[in-house]
Amino acid sequence: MGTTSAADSGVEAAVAKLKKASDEAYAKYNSSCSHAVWYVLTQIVNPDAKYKVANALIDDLSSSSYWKEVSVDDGWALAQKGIVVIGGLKQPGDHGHVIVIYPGEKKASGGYAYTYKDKATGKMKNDILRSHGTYPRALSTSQGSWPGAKSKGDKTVWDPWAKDDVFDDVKFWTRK
Amino acid sequence: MVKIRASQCTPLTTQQREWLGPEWQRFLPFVRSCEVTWRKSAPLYVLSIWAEDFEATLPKDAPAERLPKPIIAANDGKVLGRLPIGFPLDPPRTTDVSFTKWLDGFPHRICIAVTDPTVLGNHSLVLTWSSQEHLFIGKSK
Repeated sequence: MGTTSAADSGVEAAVAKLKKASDEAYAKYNSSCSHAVWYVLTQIVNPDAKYKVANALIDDLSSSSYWKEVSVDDGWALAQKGIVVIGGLKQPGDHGHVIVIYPGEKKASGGYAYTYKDKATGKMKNDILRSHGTYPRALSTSQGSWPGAKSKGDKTVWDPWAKDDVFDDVKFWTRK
Repeated sequence: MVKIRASQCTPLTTQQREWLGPEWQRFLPFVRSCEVTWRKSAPLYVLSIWAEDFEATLPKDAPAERLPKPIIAANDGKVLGRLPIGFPLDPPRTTDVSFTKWLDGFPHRICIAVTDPTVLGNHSLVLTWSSQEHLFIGKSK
């Protein structure tokens, strides 16, 4: 009983630390996904972690002997224990985007407003993006204005990309 | 170059409704036909679900549904390919579709300009005509 409680409190502390680091990263680096992920890494994994832009970080994670790829569901389970799980998709010729799985219950994607130009009328319209399924929550920041990419646990890992067949290409990594 | 104008797309004809397979049947009221012609060429058609009209019929909190991708059809209904993204709206993205590289009254290239507010940003997709496969082919997703 006592052992279980100690383990539980250890997990709770790890989760609290991951949430705290994620929340601080969101506040400090609201317009740079790679800086936000780097901040979490320095707070939890390695205080001396070198900063890398998103595409370079994804290259490193993909080829590193210290990191391994995990499924999004396995990544969620690890985040529930306070373990850092990084997600990302490279965009050659552009920045790419990286995120951290935020601890907590999975939630429905979408649910926020977006604006688009009606091609038939030329008028701007507002709509609410519908859910495309339930996913783990995300820490995500971005220099752009897409609301799905601004999350401290209130959006999901699907929302930065907001497209099912693109999300199929998003990879997740954790420490070996 | 021939650019599809969403405002000129029309409801399906009875004949066009027969071109579409089972996965389209529940969406038929929301499908529009966009004619593509250049000079005296035989027309091609892009048949696409107007996502905005379909989603307007769903309950407010209902999840999105995967819609069949638009098809490119010849005048006799033969399917010549599929656009990899909805037209003119694939929430939250909008698309502009142009048929280019016309040779002997037939387009050999389709350019899709995607206005994308997500982290992917605005980008282009291209389909090219394969005379061997008799299909427009390009990115598979």
